[in-house]
Amino acid sequence: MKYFSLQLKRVCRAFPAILLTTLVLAGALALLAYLQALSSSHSEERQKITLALVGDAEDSYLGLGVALIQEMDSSRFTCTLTEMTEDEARRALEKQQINGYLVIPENFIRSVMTGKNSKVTFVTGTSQYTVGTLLARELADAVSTLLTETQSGIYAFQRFSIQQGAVDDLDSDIYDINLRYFQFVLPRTELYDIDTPDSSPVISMQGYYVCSAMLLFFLFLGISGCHLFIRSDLSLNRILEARGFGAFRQTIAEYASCCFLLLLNYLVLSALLPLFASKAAPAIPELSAFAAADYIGLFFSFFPVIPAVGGLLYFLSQCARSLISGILLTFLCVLGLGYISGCFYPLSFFPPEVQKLSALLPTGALMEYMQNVLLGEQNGPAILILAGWTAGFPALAFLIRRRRLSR
Amino acid sequence: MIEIQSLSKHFGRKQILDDISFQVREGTCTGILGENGCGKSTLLSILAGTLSRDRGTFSCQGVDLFTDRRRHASCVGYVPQGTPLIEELSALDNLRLWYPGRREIEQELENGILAILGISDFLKVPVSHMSGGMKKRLSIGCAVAHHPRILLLDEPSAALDFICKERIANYLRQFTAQGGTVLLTTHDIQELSLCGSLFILKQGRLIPYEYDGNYHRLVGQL
Repeated sequence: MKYFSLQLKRVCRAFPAILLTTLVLAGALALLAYLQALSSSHSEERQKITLALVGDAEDSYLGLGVALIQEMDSSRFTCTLTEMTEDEARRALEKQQINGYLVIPENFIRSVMTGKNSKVTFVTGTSQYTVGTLLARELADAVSTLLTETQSGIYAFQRFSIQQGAVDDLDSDIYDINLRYFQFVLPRTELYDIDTPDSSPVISMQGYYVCSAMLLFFLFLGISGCHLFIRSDLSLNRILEARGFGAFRQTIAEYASCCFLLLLNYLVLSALLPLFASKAAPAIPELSAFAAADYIGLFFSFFPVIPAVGGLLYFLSQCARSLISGILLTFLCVLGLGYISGCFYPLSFFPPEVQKLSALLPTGALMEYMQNVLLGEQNGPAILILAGWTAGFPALAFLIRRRRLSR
Repeated sequence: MIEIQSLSKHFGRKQILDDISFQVREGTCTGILGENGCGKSTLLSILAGTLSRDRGTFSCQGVDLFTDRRRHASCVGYVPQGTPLIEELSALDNLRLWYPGRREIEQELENGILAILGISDFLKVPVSHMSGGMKKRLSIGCAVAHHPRILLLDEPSAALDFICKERIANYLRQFTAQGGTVLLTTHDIQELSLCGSLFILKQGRLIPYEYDGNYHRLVGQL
């Protein structure tokens, strides 16, 4: 009991520093993720081809063609079309604000309709003769083809109908063809359902990330707090064993103090609950209708996370022989397990085999458990797997301690 | 009389202790000498009960302490080479782990073992902030909390300053004067004067040795 109470005292002494380190670590990772996302988005933006449209862009068919390019998935992420005068386009090209510009001749559409296609001219600087320029040239060809061939097809049909004498309601039919085509292409959001990519068919993305953020926070505590449980010098433990306080009792006392450390952090998190409930919870569908009593229920429902994560972290600390190897091991395991269990990316992004494996892992079972709690659903296999790991980790840690003490 | 009989230990193919037998009179200090890696720490670890033996007995007043673990725990105090202390906690917290209660600690700090070791000077200091000498004194203070008859010390004065060595030596003299038995390993020539009898551990065998002040002869024997 004395050993246990002293372990608790150690945890209490180290707690503020551990909490601070965890917050700094989590903050640094969040910042890194944000900067990475920002950089990717910026570089994507830079890779996007920007073209200017110069000339007769007033025609409604041309306007539709441009709208198609802007809306179609194959082109909207790769190019931007902007209307400019030729002088503006030239200046923009000199300043390298655009990759090039397309000069659309006067009465371009009318010439297409009559079969006398005027050429669209693509203007680009020689200094920009790069892959981007080649792509821009390809795009210009695509623009020409799209505008001419699509419209040519429709008007070929019109001419064929006139030649065959089928002119009754021809104008309305042509109009109908055009309309149907645009109705299919332009309002693409109505052509498919949005499937939320998460591991559960019902939990919202926000709810999913609340679970993953909470699990990651507990796992990161292991990195900043593992120094308390790593034993490079077992002198004390050997003497304790010789005095009758064996490996089993030592393991129980240390594991319990590891859980106590997580509990302290959980209490700190819970103290932020009113702030969370007022600011963030309304944006989380699963929590939007929660009352104060529901939050208290949620607080207790998440309790099994503590012994399970505590077991994992304590086990990892027992596997290490030195502080550096312990921190490294914990860091790699935390990141690896967190990744496979969908803490960084939703699990549904992973292949089915990984999803199956994840369900058997402690972190995967924890994610499943927390999601079920958030949804108010019954926990089936997840709680059994979790119980298995919760008992298994301290048992494994005990075996390691006993083996190390017997050497 | 304390008797060690036929003590053997091997690690893999290497025989560290080979059928070692010796006797120690109670109320004396016995030193074990030997070169690095000869098995001195292994011998003390086995006697302290922190390492298993292949065979052998360790008797105190006719009782084999290896088989009577409870008696062993009450009779033997052990100060290993490492630091058997909780680094994040203060000296007082560490003492609490071994002493029955706060009153006993206060008594010892006033006029007992802890006073001799001078632990009250750094009672509130965390172990992680202590010097090597402080840690060693505290380790001894913890080891003798249950008033053992036999005190096993693994290189107690290694890397300590003269003042600290003197403090520990004074304590050991008092301990033996009160009937306690000390068995220590050492590389320190100053500590030899504390020892009533000496042994050299070489190639797994224990050889009695009489130190005559000739340091070069001693080195030649090791």
